[in-house]
Amino acid sequence: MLDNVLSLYDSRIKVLSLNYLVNKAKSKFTCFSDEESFSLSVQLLDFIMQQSFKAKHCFKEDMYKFMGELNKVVYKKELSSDELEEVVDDLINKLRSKGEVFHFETYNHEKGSNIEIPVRLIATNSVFKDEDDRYAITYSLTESGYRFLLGTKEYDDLLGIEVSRIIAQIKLENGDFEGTVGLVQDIKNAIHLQLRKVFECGQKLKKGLNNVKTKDYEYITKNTLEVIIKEKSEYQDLKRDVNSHIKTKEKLKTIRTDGDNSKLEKSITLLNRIGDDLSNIEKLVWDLIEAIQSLQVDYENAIMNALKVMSPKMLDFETNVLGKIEEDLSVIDRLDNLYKPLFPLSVSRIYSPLTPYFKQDKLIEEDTSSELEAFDSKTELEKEQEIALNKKIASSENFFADFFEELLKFKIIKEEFTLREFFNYLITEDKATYIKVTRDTELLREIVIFLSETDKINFTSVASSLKDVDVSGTEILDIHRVVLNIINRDSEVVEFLSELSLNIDLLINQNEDVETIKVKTEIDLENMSFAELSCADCKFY
Amino acid sequence: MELDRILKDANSIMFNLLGNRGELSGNKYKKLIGKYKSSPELREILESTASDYMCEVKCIDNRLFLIPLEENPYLGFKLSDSKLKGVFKKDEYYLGNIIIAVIFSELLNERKELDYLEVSDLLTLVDESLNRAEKKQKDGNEDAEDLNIDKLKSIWDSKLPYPEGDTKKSRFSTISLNYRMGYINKVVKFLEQESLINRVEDSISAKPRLKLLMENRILNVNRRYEVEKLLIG
Repeated sequence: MLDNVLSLYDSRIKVLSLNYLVNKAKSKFTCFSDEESFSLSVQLLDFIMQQSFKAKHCFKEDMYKFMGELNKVVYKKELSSDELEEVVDDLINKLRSKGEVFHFETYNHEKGSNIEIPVRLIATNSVFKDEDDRYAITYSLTESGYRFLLGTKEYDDLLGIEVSRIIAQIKLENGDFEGTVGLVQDIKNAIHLQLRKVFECGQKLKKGLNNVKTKDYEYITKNTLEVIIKEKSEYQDLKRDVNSHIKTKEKLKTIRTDGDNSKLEKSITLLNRIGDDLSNIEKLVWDLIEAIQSLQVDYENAIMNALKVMSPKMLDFETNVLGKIEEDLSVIDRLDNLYKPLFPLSVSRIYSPLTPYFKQDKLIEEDTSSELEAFDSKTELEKEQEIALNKKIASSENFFADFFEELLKFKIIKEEFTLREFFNYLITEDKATYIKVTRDTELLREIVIFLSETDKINFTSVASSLKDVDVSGTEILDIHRVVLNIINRDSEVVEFLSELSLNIDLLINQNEDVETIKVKTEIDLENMSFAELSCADCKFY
Repeated sequence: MELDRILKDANSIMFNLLGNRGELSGNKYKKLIGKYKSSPELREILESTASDYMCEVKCIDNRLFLIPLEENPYLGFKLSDSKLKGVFKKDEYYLGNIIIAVIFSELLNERKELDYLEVSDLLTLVDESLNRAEKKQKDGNEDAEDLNIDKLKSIWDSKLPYPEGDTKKSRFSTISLNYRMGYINKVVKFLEQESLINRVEDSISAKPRLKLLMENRILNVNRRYEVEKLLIG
């Protein structure tokens, strides 16, 4: 694990240790904050670099002037010119670590021990100054110092690729193979970086077209393609040069039989490495071109889609639903309809034999009566229910028969009587019969409701009231069967029954007659007119 | 022979759709979805079967949905029959509905491009929504008895936001109905059970089902008229 992660640690820490050095150089003047001293250091380094670009010497006096201007414009500290000079001296001293090489101590993974990395930003030189007629110290940046400042990549990455290739070509011609290896590595890294940029641009594009700036996109695609296609052929030339170098070196090796061949072998291995790197670079270039082309396709598609769908795909929930709820709360009751497809189906709502019938929503109503007729056989439950019903009807008929029998028996004793007299007699004289007659309170209630206690009992009215008695919720008592029940008992009261059953028949027949109404009308056929019907004209039979 | 196989596939898709709460996705059903996409005959058969169920079979972004139509009397989900109603009293249930609407409007807002929504933010969002509602309905229907914004507002205002003095974790995960946070957590839990949102600690995010269905079916721009009709009644 550690091997993989820290394999390139050394080269990285070399670059970043310069950063550490600059960061460490803090002004002793407390009026400069940490950030200010850091930026001041970079500004001073920039000034030194600028002077060397102009091929001018950079003396301390120049830096003092620069610092004075800088303080006026940027920092605006109330410091005298002497103090400002002191600031510069202090910072420069720290940046060059008092003229010594700064050693950055760190752990080397390969050696397994701590090592010191020498770091130098600023180099000094003594130059004879004509004006003052004396030697003076000039300041310039070391090579690593330049790298540090230029590592911020403010110059074009693509330009970097081109420049590295040109320098590599020159170095190869001059026979500096080691330098070429580094430069080829730089080219490889730069192309990797471009690939990374294309990839990131594609990622942004996926999130949305508005995340990609047109300027960036054109730079990444158009300019890169231009440069990379031009460079591609150059790499082939470079590779050819390398190959020819290898050939000559090998020839030399075969010709020279005596002496030291180690130098030749070293340069051959270096050249081979350059060749390998170059073929890797060629592959990378192809990858880059492909990536750019696919990015272009994606970008065009995204633009086409954006043109097609000018308005958003979805209505805004906030205005269309939440806003409506806020305006009128009764919308909440109707949300069910809107949300119906949204929530996952709940299976319990599918028609299921496991959930009770009344809890389920009805299926679409269909006429199933014809299908039901086809089912002749009843289930066992239905059969049981039928038997129970029949039993209930029979027992209620029995009860009424008993009641009637006792009532008729009492008629033998007394010609006319009231209900109260009947019950009083039973309680005092015949308790067993009383219990028998009052055994079913529900059915008894049906009788007592219609008969007042004090009125004399009229058997016909008792019978007529009984014919409406609800026996089982669906069946109505059949008075004829009650009468038949009594007849079957062969009791002494049968002779009264003939009269009673006649009355009952009459009662029922009367009811049937009421339903049929016959209306006579008088129509005069000669005059083609008919008499108007009025209620008085109707006759009922 | 060919027809036999198609019928078998149609049957299998329908069965799985009913068994999986109306949604097929993931590797398990990759084959079936692939068949659905590639065979027009299968799609035709499923369409007619689904119309008998008063539903619609729709493939959105490699997910197959069985979508009950609005007028479907026996399939589909009713919020008013849900557990939510069992947990809340009547007025609280309406409050719960408002919280759901606020959550949806935040998660579905295209302008904000919200990846995650902090649960604690909902306190202020619901508050704002209720305030807006109160302003809008001030002059209007005060006589409506069942649904009264003042009633809902008074329930909301009478509660403390969250238990004081506890750790941050227990504050925002309370489910006691003595606190506003409790209401929000109950609603969030409900939506989580209905697999519409994800909750990771204190932040919630929309599941693909919510986004896909809202975008392609429920709030599709082409259904503007129908949505209005459904909501106005």
